[in-house]
Amino acid sequence: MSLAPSERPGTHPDDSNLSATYALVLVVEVIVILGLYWIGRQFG
Amino acid sequence: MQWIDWAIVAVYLFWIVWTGLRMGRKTEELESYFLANRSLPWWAVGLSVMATQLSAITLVGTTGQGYNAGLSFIQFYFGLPLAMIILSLTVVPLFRRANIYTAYEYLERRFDSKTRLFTSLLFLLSRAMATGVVIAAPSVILSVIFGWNLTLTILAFGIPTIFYTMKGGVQAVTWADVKQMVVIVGGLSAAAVALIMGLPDDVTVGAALRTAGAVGKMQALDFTFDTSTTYTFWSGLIGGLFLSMSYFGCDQSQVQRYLTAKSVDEARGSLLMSAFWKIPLQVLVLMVGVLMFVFFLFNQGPILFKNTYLPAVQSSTRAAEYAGLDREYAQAFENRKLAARAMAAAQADGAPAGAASFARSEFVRNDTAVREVRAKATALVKDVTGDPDYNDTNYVFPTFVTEHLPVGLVGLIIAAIFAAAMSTIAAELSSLATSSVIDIYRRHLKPEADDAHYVTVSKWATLFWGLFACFVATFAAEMGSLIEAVNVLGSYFYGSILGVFILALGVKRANGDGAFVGLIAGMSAVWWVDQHTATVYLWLNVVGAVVVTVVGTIVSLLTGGATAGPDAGKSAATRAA
Repeated sequence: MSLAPSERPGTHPDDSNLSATYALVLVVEVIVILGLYWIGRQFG
Repeated sequence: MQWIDWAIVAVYLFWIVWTGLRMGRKTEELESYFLANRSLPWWAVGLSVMATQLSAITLVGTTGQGYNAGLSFIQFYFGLPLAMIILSLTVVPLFRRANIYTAYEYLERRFDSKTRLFTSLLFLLSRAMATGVVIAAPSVILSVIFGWNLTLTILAFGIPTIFYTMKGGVQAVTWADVKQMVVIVGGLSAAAVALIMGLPDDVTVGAALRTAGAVGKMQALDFTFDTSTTYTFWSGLIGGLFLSMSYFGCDQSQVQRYLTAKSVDEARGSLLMSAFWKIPLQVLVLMVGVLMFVFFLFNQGPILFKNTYLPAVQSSTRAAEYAGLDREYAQAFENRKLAARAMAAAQADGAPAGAASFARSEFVRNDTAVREVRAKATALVKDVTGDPDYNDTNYVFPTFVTEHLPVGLVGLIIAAIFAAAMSTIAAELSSLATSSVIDIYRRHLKPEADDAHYVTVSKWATLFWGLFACFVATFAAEMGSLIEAVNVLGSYFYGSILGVFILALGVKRANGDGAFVGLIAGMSAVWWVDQHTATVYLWLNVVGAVVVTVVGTIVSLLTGGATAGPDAGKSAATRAA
């Protein structure tokens, strides 16, 4: 691939580390799915 | 509609067009017109991303789906948060730093011009048709509900949107989206509150939800692995992941949103807003549908919500049969209402043991009776009108709004339907204009011109696509099956275009020939699977992406591996000039 380094996939020194935010997205999704499961059990 | 409702809709339209014109004043340069000088904050871009995805079809159709099938449609969105994380890590920084205007521009740098041309043409074709459907769907519904002229309704959606998009470019679109999102969420919340307030005094919210749950409407999750069932946990998680990656990562109508962000981090933040809020928002939309089901347990609605067929049925030889079904429905409704009240009472403290179970089975039996009468009436209408696609799902919410909500609230909800449609149409028109000017006009027809020329052409392109979409809408409105055909057409492209981007980003030795042949193979495979198996459309995205990636890799290796695109070696700044 002959693209400039900035145009290649991968991390860049200027990027913030959003690992904690990504982890939070996953935690929220799991909580929402568990919540929907609970709603199904409680009201179904 | 009362005059006050009309006034609310008129104020909304004026407010949005004025916002669009005011925010989009300084658009003499191409980067300003198409990318807002890459200066917008994450929250505005994030709201614009969500508003673009939430069309009037979502608002009206999904509430109808909640009424008919309950919460199960929510599974469709389970792959979306994961897709947002993957895109934040991959294409967002890549596109943002490449200083590109369109996603397809990147494919020329990575592969060659034919791959860019082909993917951008696929986008223009599918998105232009889809924009027509986005205009047609709410136009048909509102024209039926209010008796408005269909062409005028289409123009009421199209003209203001074309006007502010053409005049103000992407800044106008984004800032109008922000306000439209407020109107949409406000309208939905008001509808939910009105539905809860509309419950009988002796029926609590908990009892109402248990009544809906007794007939399966609170059951959101289905863990069976069956590719012929449309909405399951797995089709939503895996098929939805591929669909979301394609839509948010490869479709210009979404990519253009986060290219306007101030920085890579702000662009990521805008997508992560959807990752956090999309599923809860859709739960709200579906819950409005479930609450409508409960509302119509205690308030009699029409036997069928779409009543355009009535004159044809009443003048046919089966008019007496239909009148009989109508009487049968009224009786079945009363029986179900009594059963629903009995079920709610049986859940109260102090009710005898076993009473709740008996009341629940009685309610289920009576609900089945109501559904059977509705099914008979639907079959009769299909026979008499010769319309095999007759379906009243999309008419439940508008019927509830116009016949049961108080004055003022009707105007707010109609404004929310306008907002949902206009936010999607504006973003799509802006992206269609961007791709046609950047990928086609500037690349192939007139490469050397100043920004003023390209901005003028872009405005004309916006007008052209807007009028084209209105034209398509007038035909789509008449042909229900065309709407479905456009959706199927979209699913043929989505996964395959995602496959091309996977090749570009993930397979170092992939080349233009591999990507091109892979794309053809992917779309052919999707067509074959769709025609010869019962696989539902969410899985078609997976098929397309996987076939393009595998075939593209093999062809690339057989044809000598990666080759530099025509721009390889130039700096990003040179290429952007």
